[in-house]
Amino acid sequence: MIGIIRKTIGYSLATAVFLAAGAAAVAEESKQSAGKLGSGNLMELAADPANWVMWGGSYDGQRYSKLDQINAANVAQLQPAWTFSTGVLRGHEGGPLVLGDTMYIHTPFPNNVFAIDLKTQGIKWKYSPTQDPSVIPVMCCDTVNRGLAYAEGKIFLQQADTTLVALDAKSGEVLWKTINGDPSKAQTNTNAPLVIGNKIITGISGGEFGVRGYVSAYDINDGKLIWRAYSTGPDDTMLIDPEKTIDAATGEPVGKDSSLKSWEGDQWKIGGGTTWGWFTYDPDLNLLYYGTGNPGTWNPAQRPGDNKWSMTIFARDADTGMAKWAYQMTPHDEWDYDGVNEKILVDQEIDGEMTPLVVHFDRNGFGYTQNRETGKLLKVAKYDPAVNWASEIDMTTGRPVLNDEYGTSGKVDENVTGICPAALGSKDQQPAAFSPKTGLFYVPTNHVCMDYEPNEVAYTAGQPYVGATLSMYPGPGDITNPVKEIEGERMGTFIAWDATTGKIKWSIPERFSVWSGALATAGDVVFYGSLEGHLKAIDAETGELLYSFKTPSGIIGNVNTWSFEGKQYIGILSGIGGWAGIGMAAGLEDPTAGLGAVGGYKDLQNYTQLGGVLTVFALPDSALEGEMVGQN
Amino acid sequence: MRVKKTLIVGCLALGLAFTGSLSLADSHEKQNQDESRSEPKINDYSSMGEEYGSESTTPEMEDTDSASASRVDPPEVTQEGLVTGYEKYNGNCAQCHGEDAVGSSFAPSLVNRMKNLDYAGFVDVVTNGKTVFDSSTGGYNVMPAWKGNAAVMSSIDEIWGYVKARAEGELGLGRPK
Repeated sequence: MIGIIRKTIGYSLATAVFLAAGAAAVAEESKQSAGKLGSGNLMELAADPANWVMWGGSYDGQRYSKLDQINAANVAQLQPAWTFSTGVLRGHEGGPLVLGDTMYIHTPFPNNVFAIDLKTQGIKWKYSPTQDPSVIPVMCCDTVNRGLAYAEGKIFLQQADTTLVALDAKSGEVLWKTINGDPSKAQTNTNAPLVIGNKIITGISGGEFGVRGYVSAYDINDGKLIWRAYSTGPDDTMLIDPEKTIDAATGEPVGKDSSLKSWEGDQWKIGGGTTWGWFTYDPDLNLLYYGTGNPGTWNPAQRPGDNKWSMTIFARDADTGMAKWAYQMTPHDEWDYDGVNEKILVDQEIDGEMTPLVVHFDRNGFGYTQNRETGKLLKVAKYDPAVNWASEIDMTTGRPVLNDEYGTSGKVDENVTGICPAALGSKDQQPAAFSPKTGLFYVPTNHVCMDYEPNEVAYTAGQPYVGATLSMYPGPGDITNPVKEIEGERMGTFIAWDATTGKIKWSIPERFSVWSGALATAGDVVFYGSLEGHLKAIDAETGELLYSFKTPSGIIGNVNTWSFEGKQYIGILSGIGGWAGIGMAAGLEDPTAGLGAVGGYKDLQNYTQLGGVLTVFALPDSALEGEMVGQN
Repeated sequence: MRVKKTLIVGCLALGLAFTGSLSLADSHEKQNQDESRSEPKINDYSSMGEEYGSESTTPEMEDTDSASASRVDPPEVTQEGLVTGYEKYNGNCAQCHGEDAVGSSFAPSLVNRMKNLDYAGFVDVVTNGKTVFDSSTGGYNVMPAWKGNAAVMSSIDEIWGYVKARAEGELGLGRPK
């Protein structure tokens, strides 16, 4: 019946011919996509560069696309193609998913989900969760959400109130719900979940409220728990085998009670290690990779010991959750350097030998290159020259060589000044990208330092459990191989990094933290967004700026790409917020100045206000004469 | 011509009515499913891990609901009190209201807000919280109630002193000397 109506209109309207021709092409493509949708093979869908079917593009988290229609020669002609307002005004992290002819967009709290028809940009369905707003104040750093997951005809949303929801991808109907935590104990969620086989993996937030972190695997068909691994406490609750799980710092088994022995008394129960970052996966090794956050209170004196396994990268068997190896980046944390940043999987030559690697840019300012089978440290180096809390990581013990001047442990009520990086790290959640063509990582970084003073705090369930005062400000002028002049002070740098040598190839100074997720493409273009709101395209080899467009609000989302009906598109969410939206007054002027706070935040307000918009870019038809979307 | 035009408009309207929803066949099937399954399956793991729950280390709290009515004269806060206020502010309020009370993209600047808020109003909103619903966007702004938090309530005067001094220009950025 619908077909008949459409035909009737088609014959009569001026756009009839165009519609009819377009409809045939779309029908063909939809048939292909529909077939793929039903196939249920997530890896096949991810391998098709027309799709963007998980947060990192693919399981390795490389955020690399084989699409090359947009390239270094023509990206200067890029232009906005269409836009979509999310209707929400909070920090917009993450990015849209695209599968065939449908885009799936998520929002910050209240975590609405839209299914968008790529042909018409109309809304196919909308899911609007009902969540108790009392969850908002127990989310430390804005009510962000890092995105959706897709598998087997289902869209998965991890809500702020910890409810994990499975939606029918075609209709938006709710299939099942799982309550992953308890907001009255300040357990909340901001992470994007990840589907592996028949399981969906998701974490928990609340490290600033003494929440004991964990990762859970739920069945994608009915939401039942399959396994859960805690970050601290008894071995069996952490899914750690004392004889088999390897401590990658030493290459030896972790031994019995590795966590309990590294805490005093019951401190591990409020020991943080929350798991709000990104998940990646190696299908050949069947290993899930992720990191854990800070060990509860920011006052180190209240928790003597290494505080395992906070600040740790875990490699876990995806079927059972058992930890194959673990490596703690920052034992006995004194600075809030959460270890949750994305663990990117690449295969590169290290010292002449092709090696399966896991590379990550830790909050603590060190870039780690490890063997992802064993966890063995291969190259570790600072990815911001200003980093000073440690001089290096000792490769035999795996432990940082601390610089006591910038330590805060035992210095209760003593203000430690000039620590780099600040608590928000040399990089926070904003994910980097990797190009197999250049062999380089493209890393959005913060260049911020801090004064940090611990103080005594008591724990109350559901209440903040912080215990330090912070003052953050721009870092010093140090920069490695800048591609342009720095104008005044800076709080961000976008770098190209070689993980096989531990060196910065070049740096792009930015006035504010680069809080967006990067994208690398086969067109030899790299994309990122600035906190003022510019979507930028740079040359993947040289870092030269090729295109810039000011979107409606500051960018803290991830740049994603896909193709539809023969055209490549770039999409980015704008909407300032997240920890990047926190007021930082000190630094750009005299810190003893009075009223009318000057400095970082006030400056940011000169560039951007709140927003919530998806902007989609493409090349104009004139730039595409005779071209097809490349598939490499 | 006119009849044809009416037919077209009528068909167009019908077409539009169908575009935003499922096809007839699909929606019928969905209706059947809806009738047989009214609620989606809900798995509740919210109390998992409680066997390792941790006890609060803060002392018992008295009921402080009456705090807002008990006094309206603002207290005198000593220099030492301002330091306490600064520390308590940073441990509890700064994550939303920003360093030095300058605000964030998700909570207002208290340097501005406190200019128009007196002591009684301040104690009321801190003690009892406030939820503001914006019906045009469906968005919430939520100030939590701190009455159950002994660390905050025991220093509410000092926190008042700190943010008020910031708002009046008496205190600059950073730790009070």
